[in-house]
Formats: sequence, C-alpha cells, structure tokens
Amino acid sequence: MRRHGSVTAVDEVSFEVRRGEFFSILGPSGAGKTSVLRMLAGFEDPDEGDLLIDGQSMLGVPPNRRPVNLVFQSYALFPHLTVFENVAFGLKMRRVPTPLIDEQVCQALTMVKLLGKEARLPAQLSGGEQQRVALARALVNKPAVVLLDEPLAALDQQLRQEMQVELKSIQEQAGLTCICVTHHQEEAMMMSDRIAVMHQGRMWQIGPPRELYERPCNLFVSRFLGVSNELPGRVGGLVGEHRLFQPVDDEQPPLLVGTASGEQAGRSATLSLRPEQLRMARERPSPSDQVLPGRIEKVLFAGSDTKYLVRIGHDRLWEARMASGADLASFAPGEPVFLHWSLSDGQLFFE
Amino acid sequence: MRRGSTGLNLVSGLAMLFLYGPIFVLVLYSFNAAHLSMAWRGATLKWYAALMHDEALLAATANSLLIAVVSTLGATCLGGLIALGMERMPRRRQQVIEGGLVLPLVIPEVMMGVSLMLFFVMLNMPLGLTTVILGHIVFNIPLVTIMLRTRLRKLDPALGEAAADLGASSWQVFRYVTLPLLRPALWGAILVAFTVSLDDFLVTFFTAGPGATTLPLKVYSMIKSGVTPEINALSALLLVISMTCVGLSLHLQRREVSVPPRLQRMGVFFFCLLGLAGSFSACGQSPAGDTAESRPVLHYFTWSDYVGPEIIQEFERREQVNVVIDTFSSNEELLAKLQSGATGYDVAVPSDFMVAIMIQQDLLSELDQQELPNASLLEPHLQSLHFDPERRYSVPYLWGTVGIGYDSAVIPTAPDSWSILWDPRYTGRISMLNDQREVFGAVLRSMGQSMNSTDPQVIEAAKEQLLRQKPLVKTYTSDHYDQLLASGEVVLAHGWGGPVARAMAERPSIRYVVPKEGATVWADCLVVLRTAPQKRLAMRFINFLMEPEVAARTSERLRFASASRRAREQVGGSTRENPAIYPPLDQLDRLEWMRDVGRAIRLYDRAWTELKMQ
Repeated sequence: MRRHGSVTAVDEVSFEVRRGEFFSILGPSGAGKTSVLRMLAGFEDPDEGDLLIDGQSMLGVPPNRRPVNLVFQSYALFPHLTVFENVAFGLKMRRVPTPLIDEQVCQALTMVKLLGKEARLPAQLSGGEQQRVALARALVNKPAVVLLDEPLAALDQQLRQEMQVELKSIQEQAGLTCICVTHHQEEAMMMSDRIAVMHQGRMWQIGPPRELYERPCNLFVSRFLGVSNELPGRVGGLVGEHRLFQPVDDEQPPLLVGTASGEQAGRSATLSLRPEQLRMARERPSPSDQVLPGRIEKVLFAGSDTKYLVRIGHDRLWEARMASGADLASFAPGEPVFLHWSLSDGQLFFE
Repeated sequence: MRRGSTGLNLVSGLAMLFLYGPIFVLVLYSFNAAHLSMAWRGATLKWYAALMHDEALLAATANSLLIAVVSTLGATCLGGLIALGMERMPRRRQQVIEGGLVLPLVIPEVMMGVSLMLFFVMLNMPLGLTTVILGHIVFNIPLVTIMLRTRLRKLDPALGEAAADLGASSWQVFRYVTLPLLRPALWGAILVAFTVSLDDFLVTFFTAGPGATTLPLKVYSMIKSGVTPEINALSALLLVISMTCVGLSLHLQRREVSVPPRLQRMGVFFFCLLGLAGSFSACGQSPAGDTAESRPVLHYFTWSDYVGPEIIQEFERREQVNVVIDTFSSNEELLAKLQSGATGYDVAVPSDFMVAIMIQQDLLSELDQQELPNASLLEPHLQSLHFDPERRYSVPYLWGTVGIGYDSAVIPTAPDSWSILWDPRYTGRISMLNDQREVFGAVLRSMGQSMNSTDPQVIEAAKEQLLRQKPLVKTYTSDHYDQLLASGEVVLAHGWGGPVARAMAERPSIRYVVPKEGATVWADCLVVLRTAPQKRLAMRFINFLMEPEVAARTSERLRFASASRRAREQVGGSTRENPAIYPPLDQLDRLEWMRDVGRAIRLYDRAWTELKMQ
C-alpha cells in the first residue's frame, strides 16, 4: 500500500510475475500504476506490505542495489553522454572490466539495431532510436526485471506499432522478465502474457489478454478493454433453458440471456456486448438471435472496417463494426436497422 | 520590408549609440597622444605602455585579481551547495530560501557595504584583503545560486533517478550526471561572479582596509590628481575582460553544448594563473627580496598619485621595509574610513580643516619632534597654523591656493578680480569648482567678506550673486577642469593651482591668477594615526618625505608647492616661478584658511542646494 498524503495511491495490490513473462499493468492515468512501478524500482517505499524479487525482500534496498532497471517514459538518456556511454553507464557503475563493457554494449546495441550509432549524442537520434537506447541501457545490465514506464507513449502511431512488435521479440529473444505500465489497452494486449487492470489504486483483474477481453469481471474492465455496448435491465423468470432480461426502458422488447443463474432472478444488471458480436439487418432476422431495433446515426469508415453508431431507444448509442468489404456498406445514416446477436454472446454485470 | 521598420531601426540605432557611444569614446581616447585635452593629437600605445610601469595600478590590479579569483571560488562552492541542497527541499522552504537569496541583490549595495563593515568591526576583524574577499563572497553567493538553480530546474529529474537505477550511488550520480550537466551553468556563474567582483566598488569601499586597494577604488581615488589617459587604457582593458567573461557566460548558458574538456582545462589553468599572479604581487608588492615577507610594513593612506613610486622605493631600500599605499578620494572618505574603525594605517594626508576635526576626534597620534628634524625647515608662514599651532599632530606637506585659470589667448588682459567670472562675454565658457565652501568662498571674498562668514544675510547675498552667475557657468566640476581648459572648452576656471598648472603644460596660453580680493589657501598635512601599528617607522617616513630633495621632487611631480622652505630652493625655476604652483610670497596676505563654520554650515548647505536645484 502506498499513500501520498491523505490520498491512497495504491491499495492492497498483490500480484506475482513469472520469470520470462511480459506483465502489463493497465489503467487510466491516476490509477496508481506509476506508484507501483516506482516502488518496484525503489524510488518510493510501500507504507505496508512487502516486495520480493527471487524470494528476497526489497524493502529498504536503495534503487542502485536492486536487480531491476527502469526504462523511463521520457527515456532520461544522459544528454552529455554518447549512445555507447549511455548504454555502458550501468556496467561502469558496477565496475565491470572495460573489455567486457565493450563486448556487452555491442551485444545490446546489436539487439536494438543501433550498431554504428554508438558515437552519437542522444539529441542526434530520432525518437524511436532514443527509445531503443533507453531499452539497451536497461537490458545490458541483465536485470532480473525490466521495468517499462509507458515505453512507447512518446512515439507516433506507426513507429509505435513497429516498436510493439520489436520490443516483444527482443523480450522473447533475451528471455527478459518485463513489467510494463501503460494506459494503452491495445498495446498491453498485443505485447503482454498477462495484464493487470488497475483503477483507483486497486487491481481489478489479472489474467491473459484474451480472458480479460472476453470475460471481464466488471463493467470497468469491460469498458477499459474495448467498446462495451450496454443495456441496463432486470433479470426475470425462466424461458426454457434461458432467462428473461427486461430492459429498464419499457419501449424495448424483453430479451433472453444465456448465462444467468436462478439466484440472480429479480436483480438489476447491465447487459454488455462487444461491437464485433453485433450484426445488422434491414429485415427482422431469425428468431434464434436476440434482436433490438434501432436507427443508424453515423457511419464511420476506418479503412479495413466500418463503424456504425446506432441509436437504441432515446438515449443509447451502440457501436457495431463490420468488415468494409461486406455489402452492408450501403447502410446510410437515418436508416432503421435491426441489431442482432447470438444468445451466447451477451454478458451480464450485476451491481 | 514592413512599413515603420525604418523608424524602428532608427530608434534602436539611437539607443545603441546612447549605450555604447561613451564606451567607444573612452576606448578611442585610450589611443590619443594628447595628455589632457580631448583634442585628437594622433594615435599612440604609450598609455598602455605607461600602464605596465605604473606600480600603484599594477598593485591594485593584483589585489583585484586575487580578490576576484578567491571570492569567485568561495561563492561558487557555497552557492553550488545551496543550489543543490534546495533541489531536495519541499517547495515552500525553497521559496523562503529563494526570497532570502534575492534580498542581497535588491537591497541597496551601500547598505550591504555598511552592514558588512559594521559586522567585521564588531567581530574585531581588521579590515583588509580578507574582509573584502568575504564581502565579495557574500554578494556573489546569490548570483551563483540563482544561475545554477535556473539550470537545475531545467534538468529532467528522471536523469538522477535513471543514474541511481543503473547502480550509481548518490556521489556517482553527482559526479557523472549532475555535475557534467551543470558545467556550462557553473562556468557561466564563475565568469559572472568574477566580473562582478572585479568591477565592484561599494562593498569593496566599505570592507577594504590597509593593503586592499582594488582597481575600482584606485581609479575613483585618482579624481583628485586628474583622470589620466592611462585610466582610459586600463578601462579599455577591463572592458575587454569583462565583456569577454560575460559574453562567454551567456554563450555557455544559452547553448546547451558541453564545454570541450581541453577548453575547460585551459579555463581552470588560466583561472589559477590569475589567482597566483594576484597573490604573488599582492603579497610582495615591492621587488621580492629574500626577506620581503619578514620586513616591517608601513601603510600609507593618501590621495591617489600623491607620491612618486621611485620615492617609495628609495625609502623601502633605505629602511629595509615595505610600503603599502592605499588611496582615498576626499577628506570625508578618509574620516569615514577611520571613524568606522578601519585600523592598520600608519600615515595619512588630511587637508588643513580635516586635521582640526581629526584632532578633535582623537584620531591622531602625537608626533615626536626629535624624530622629525626635516619638519622644522618649513616655510615661515606654515610653521604655526591655526588648527595645530605647535605642530603636535601634523606636519604641513604640500600647499597651494585657489584661484582662476584663464586662457590668455582669449582674455589678453590679466583679470585681477573674481568679477571676471560674472562677465557675460564668457557665457558658457566658465567652470566652477563643485565644492560649496570654495564656491561661496570666492563670492564672499569678492563681496569683501570673510570666506568663513556665519552671517545668514551675507550668505543669502552670496547665494543671490551665485544665482546670477549660474547661467554663465558651463559646469561645476572639481576634477576635470584641467581638461576643459586644455581643450579650450572653457576659458575661465575656478580651481586649485595644480590642475591649472597641468593644463598649462598642454596649452601654453593658460595662465593662473589669485584675485586681489583674496582666496583660499590650503595645506595637506602628514599625520600619524592613533591606531598606527608602526609609529616609529611612520615618523621616519614623514621625515623622509620632508627631506628637501625628496620634497622638491614631489613638488615638481605633483605641481603643488612643498611646505619645505629648502625644497622651494631646490625646485626648477619654471616650477618656482609658476604662480599656479608656488604662490608668490607677496600675495600671502590675500589668502585665507578655510575654517569650521560650526552650525552655519547648514546655511551653506541650504544655499548650495538651492543653487544646484534652480
């Protein structure tokens, strides 16, 4: 636990990272992710609890004696040192013999594809290259854990996607254990073995990206890991194997949900659907699907696929996503449509 | 081109001219062959050469360099520590300290000078080089701290954390990250502190003691003997040094580039060299003999350029001692310095009226007449002066009159009355002394009154006369009327004889006259201070200065009359016959001594202020 004055930044956070794992802490800004990272690096101390690396407690161990290295969001490259000197800094501090330093720095620079630029100053490098130097500077020390603080946040979109792939492959190649802090859900999902979703100082759910996306434990996680189309309502009685779901808005027809159990009957809940689970039709589709009528409000062409914002009732706007090549392209704003989905797809969140 | 930019260029051009014009003129005239006048008489480097041989100036330069180097180092170390320490403090405490740091920069420097002086006197610290250095460290600390903090705040705090994260201890973080990144600002701060220290006048003025005369103090005290072209040369050199330092400092701070190591080593080397040069020449100001350090030291507190260097060397050789000369620029400065508790000076040269005050305030030591055989060889009329009739405390040294210097080429008939100064034909070509007692003295004598009158009505009448004269007067000046006369800018100058005699050397048509209504006679006297550490040596020094041959040489050099009767016999005929230097003895009955007028001084003060304000 960590408090800043009267604000508790991190509360009852508990997780375990396996060797060689890429572990991401994902959350909006102010969630307490950075506090966790700074505690791991040793810049801050937890007020309660413990922190173990390879079974050894790190409490009271100063940053310069911890077997971890941090890649700063700003990179924090030493502006007065060359690329080579930046990468060699940690080895020099540990008094590694010079020939060994040369060898290891070369290895690290090869890994991040910066060989040939070791004599440059950081100011003479592009953003992507600076980010690689920062990475090389950390991993040359062969730390037990590499800490990454929003590692790609300062890069533009294209470079960012390239670096995601590259970072992941370096991590796998070198067998690094990484803990990465980010607010970028796509980045976290693409790179991580496991993700911890953090919000208001707590970790809500820890698991592999797919599990988090498909079975979020609450509405927050659901909303944070993608678009969540929601409909509040109440769980009703049994209809065959399924239960009735009565939306709060009486204009909407009752729906069926597949997953609710008996004791949940009568409770308020929110039904959530991912955009790609929704299909659209002009005619009322087959009765096996759940159906909601709506009206297309906006069509947003985004290259490979197209987003449709569909108004449900008065105040709900749902997002559906279709591949652009499909013949649905003829849907136009203002057109009435039916949104439908398989009975097994919807997920219920209880308050 | 945008419209209006011509006007803008014009305005900024004028502003630049206003700022740099005077400096340009000063540099230009440092190459002027003429000695006094502003007229251009061809280019020369002789003033720069003369500078290299002026021991008093070189000694002052050495002091300045030593003080600047040591105080810069001290202030940089302390200021650097403060700046680094502040980085780790909570924001609020930083603000409190920042306020405290800025304070010395915004309070008037005079206050800082006075309070430092009082502080040192309270601690019983003798004023000298050490106190000046401490004073300079005090005002340089805020400069250094603020400059370093500006840089520190620009640094990414993550850099320090990154270094620690990579295994650096706090010392290593400082050594390998903070210090290298701070280096440009550090050099900038060093250069600025060095320049400020080199240029400082006020704090130095108050904290200086015997042997601590710096260049600015020296230059200022040269006012009495006239600002020579050597000073122009010296100022030009100082200007180059200061501008180089400041320019370099700005460059280092603007560009984030790191300083090449070779340049840094050169900088350190140069800096050390300056300090060494300073300390060498400041410690052994005479030619370094083998026993130079164990020799007794005599501190002579005098007007600038009031004794020839070869005379001092002769005394040093003869007595096997060192003489350290410090200078003051006015009697009031001398008194203030002694009243404030400055000790260590042995011999001083106050003027007649100041001797009276110093006797009253018990600042002088009684003289031992046995040790002063030469002091009895005085001109008869100087043997018993009103302020010290038995010469128990003072020996008259140099004397002279106040009169009118005029250009006989413009005024062919010799004026014999003060009334010439009211002649409208010479409107705008008259200069008067910038000295209330002397100016009123001239008017009062022309009115047939004593120049020491205390009658309010008489003083009021004198003021009316002066107000009437004011439109005719080009300027009130006490220090450069010799130049004005020599260049022909004024044709009538109210002033002391010596400077007029100097102007004569430049412009042979200049003449000097003591008006028939009468004028001031003055004498500068040698005294031994009550706190003098070397009283016996002081006696021998006074006796030496009064030796007829030595006194005659001094008289020739300074163009003032020696008080020694035998010296008058030894000086060259042109000096003896020059009324501006040796007042004709048949005019003695016209002359009057300036005396303390008691509470009436307020009447003079008020009348003078009214005159200057109108």
